[in-house]
Amino acid sequence: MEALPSLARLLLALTIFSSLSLLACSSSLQDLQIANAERRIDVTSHIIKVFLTLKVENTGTSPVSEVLLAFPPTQVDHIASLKAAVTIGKKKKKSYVPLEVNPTELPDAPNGTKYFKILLLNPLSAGETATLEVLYILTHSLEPFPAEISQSESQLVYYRDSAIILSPYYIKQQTTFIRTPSTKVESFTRVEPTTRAGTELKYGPYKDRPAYSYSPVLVHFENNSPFAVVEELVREVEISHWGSLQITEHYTLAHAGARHKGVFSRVDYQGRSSGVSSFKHLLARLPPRVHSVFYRDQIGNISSSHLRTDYRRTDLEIEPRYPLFGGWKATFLIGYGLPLQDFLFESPDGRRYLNFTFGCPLADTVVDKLTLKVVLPEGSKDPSAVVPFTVQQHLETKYSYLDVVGRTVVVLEKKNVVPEHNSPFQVYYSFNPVFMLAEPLMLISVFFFLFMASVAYLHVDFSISK
Amino acid sequence: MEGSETSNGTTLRNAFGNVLSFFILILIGVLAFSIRLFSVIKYESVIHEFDPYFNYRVTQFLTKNGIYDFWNWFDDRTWYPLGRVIGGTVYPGLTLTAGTLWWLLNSLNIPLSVETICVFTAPIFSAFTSWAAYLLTREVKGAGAGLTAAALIAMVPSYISRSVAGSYDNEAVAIFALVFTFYLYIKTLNTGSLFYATLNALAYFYMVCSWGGYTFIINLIPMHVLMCIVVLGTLLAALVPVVGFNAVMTSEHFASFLVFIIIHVVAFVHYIKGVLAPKMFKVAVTLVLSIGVIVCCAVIAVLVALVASSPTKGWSGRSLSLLDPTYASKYIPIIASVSEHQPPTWPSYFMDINVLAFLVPAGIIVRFQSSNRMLFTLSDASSFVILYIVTSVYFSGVMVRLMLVLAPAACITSGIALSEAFEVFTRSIKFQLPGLQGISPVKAEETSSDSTVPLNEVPKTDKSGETLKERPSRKNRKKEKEPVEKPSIKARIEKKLLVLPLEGSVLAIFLLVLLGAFYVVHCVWAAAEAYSAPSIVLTSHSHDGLHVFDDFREAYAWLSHNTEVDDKVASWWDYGYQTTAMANRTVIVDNNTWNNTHIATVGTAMSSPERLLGKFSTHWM
Repeated sequence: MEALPSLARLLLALTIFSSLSLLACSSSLQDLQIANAERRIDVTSHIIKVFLTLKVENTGTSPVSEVLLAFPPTQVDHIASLKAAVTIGKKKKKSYVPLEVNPTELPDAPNGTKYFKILLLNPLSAGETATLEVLYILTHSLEPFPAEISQSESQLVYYRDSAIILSPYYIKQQTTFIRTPSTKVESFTRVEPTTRAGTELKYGPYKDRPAYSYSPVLVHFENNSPFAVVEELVREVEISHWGSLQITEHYTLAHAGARHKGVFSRVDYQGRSSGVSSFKHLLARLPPRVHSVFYRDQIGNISSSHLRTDYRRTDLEIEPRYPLFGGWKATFLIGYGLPLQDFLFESPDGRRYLNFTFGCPLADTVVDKLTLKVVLPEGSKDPSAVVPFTVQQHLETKYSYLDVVGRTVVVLEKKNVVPEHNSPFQVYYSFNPVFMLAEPLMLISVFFFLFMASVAYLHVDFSISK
Repeated sequence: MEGSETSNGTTLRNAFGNVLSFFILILIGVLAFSIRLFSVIKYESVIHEFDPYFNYRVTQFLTKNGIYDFWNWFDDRTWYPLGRVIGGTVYPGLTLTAGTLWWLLNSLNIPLSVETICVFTAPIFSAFTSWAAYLLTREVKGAGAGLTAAALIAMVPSYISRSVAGSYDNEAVAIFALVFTFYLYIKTLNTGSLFYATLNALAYFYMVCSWGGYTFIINLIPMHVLMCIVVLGTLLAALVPVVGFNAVMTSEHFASFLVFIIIHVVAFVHYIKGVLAPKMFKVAVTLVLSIGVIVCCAVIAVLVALVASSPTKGWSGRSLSLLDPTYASKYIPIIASVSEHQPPTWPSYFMDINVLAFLVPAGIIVRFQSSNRMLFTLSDASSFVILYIVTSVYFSGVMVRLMLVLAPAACITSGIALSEAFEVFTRSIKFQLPGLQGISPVKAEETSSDSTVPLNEVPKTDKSGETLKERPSRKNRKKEKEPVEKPSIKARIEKKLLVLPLEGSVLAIFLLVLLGAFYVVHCVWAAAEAYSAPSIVLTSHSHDGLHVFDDFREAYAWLSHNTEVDDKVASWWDYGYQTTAMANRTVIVDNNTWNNTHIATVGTAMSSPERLLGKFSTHWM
């Protein structure tokens, strides 16, 4: 008998709470509106870059400290990176201040819309406006159609999006530009006014669209840029306090474009300019002062690569063993050494830290799964990693040359990595230089005992009878 | 050390000589290893050719799955749809050696890949071979000749051709096993020690594990007679699955058993002779002989019937083609079609063993001559070496491939010849220049090392007899050494009269050094240019630099990444092994020749017009 009132009370509390929170949310949603939105979608390569400029206006009464971005659920899985910045100053003295962006949930999201929350530096008080610059990267969002092409055909793809920006806010005026790699556009959905000029497709301007307006568009166009996808990349950075940093990178590369159909003709490939959708060259940007670069795979050296060095950076141009057509795969391995003093530093508290670049050195590639292993020298303690975005972390132990206790390995894992993730990260650890002497001393003592044993053997008489 | 206290000076000189020869041996090992690295430097660290890829794949399997799985391995990736029992049809010596090396290094946390180990197995073992050749020649002639032979074998082109880095084939370890078995055999002969006999049997076992060429040993040694190796060795040989009961069944092994029986009969007769009175002995002889002859006739009749009933007379095809060079081309064209089974041409002798071809006869003469000095008979060791060189010259004449067996023999005899020549010339110089006593002047690196050591030979071997552990056998050694010491003193007095003119000796030494230099230049050239190509990568020089043709691996890599795992590759003979190893796909035929019908079918399919191919493909699918 007592359970019922308590349950009723709980229900009541819940209802009040949820209605309150809804009120709070919707109040902030209704407070804001977007005065002007401009979206530029760059589909020239398989990595789609979307630049979004939002002029946000607070029409409510209370200050607002966060702005929401909405994405359809099909698109949100393909977002590799999302950055936002606020513009400060006028035309000439314009500067951008990066803002924090976090994924968030709303209770009444229509059709499973996903949200990202941009935290403003200063709350936007009533009547004020702010200009936000948002850049987000989409991967695996171009669908090849036809899905299978022969060697001589060029590759056509679909891009799906909405002509009207999906937003939880009321948008006064908006325009969307889609830039295609060539003028060859098979078809596109018209949502008037729609104009096409050269390689640019313009949707809009649309005026006074309510929140959550959506108008799907489909663009079918030619895209022969290399669809280079690294399905798995394992980078291993091994620190040796004897003065070198050894990096080994294992790649599983695939062509994610339209699948190759029929036979491959080498004569056509080399003679005529067929196989436009395939790719042969890859460019890896390595740090300056690399040495002992190697490029090989399981069955030996791959003898087609060029290395160009200057004092700022190193360009390694590699060719897989065979040109990659749609659906084809290749694995290879790149390794190089770097001088330690460029990357290893001592922090004020006496700990050491490695400052190295996250991401994949190959230009214009998507990495589906990146595993970065930092192998610390034997005897180092309390490792900790500082990475500018969320990654999965765990520790491993690796046994390398003459190790006794093994080396601590900091493993960082991230999915869907694009070139925008090539930013520095740090791994801190404490290390006693005495450990550097362990292995040489071990070798010295082994040889010493070997010689002592042979001296002893030569001087001792082992025979049974005299 | 306390034994040879003849004078302080000699001990010091012995010690110096020992240390010097030790360092020379280490340098020879380094030389043998590094001359084979041309392939790695000019090309890359990769497995060469065809068979090595199979061995590499087997080694990978061994390191991954352990020895028991390896022993029972049925490989369904080759000879589709037949498959192949790998564990029972390979010589496991090489694989086990590399597998053990890998395991050892990895247990010390030295993470070298299986491929690296396989690439460098052959150079490592050629260093071992040169040390084994040193030991063998030291037993036959002396330390000086040993060092010369070791230096020669370290860079003999014939051996280099089969043991450059990456040439991961049976011969790589088998030549070491061969030379080492011979060394232990002669050591056993010289010492009579059971310890060495057992070691010998083990070395023979290793040889059987490694290469089909073990039949050479088992036939050569019986010609030279020793029992221990036959009994123990055969039992151990029977343990290797490829050999199996062939060890007692095929005619190739008859020589050893025949000798074994004869030895026992002779020993038994001697024993009876000692036990019985002369008269009784005569009676017994007639009795035994009459029974024996009957039994023998019966046994021989049975054997002949058995042997005659089998089509190849109990001999395997390859061996028959050795004894009768025309056999293969008549009956087994598939063996004859392999180029390495063809008889060599004269230039290939010069290419492969170079100046050694001229030095070998000199070496043989030296052996006869030195034997003549003592009791006008060949010593056991010398006669063995002569037998070895004569048989191997014959075999190499039949098959190019067996040039490899000739190479160590040629090196050993030429080493003996060279060292003897240097000894004679330096001695005659020394006697004519009374001012120069003791250590002869240093003329060239080679001359000094070769000439100083032979002078120390007698005391030195004595000392090593002290320090080595077979003290019980020392008496035997002493006995054997005594005749050497006495004649050498006599010979020294005689030699005073037999000196050659000074100018002549100097000139001759100069010419010999020149000859050696020519040999070295030729060997380095052969190693760098002729034998280092891995044959999966081709290069060509053109006006705009080096061109690399890497098409084979391009195809294999494509196959391995872009076809289904259980796809079948209709490969032809040559590249079957490479396809299974590099592309990891099932092949229909590979380089192994165990089913001629299958090869013939694939051959027909490949030479048929395209429209008929469907018939064959249904045959296999």
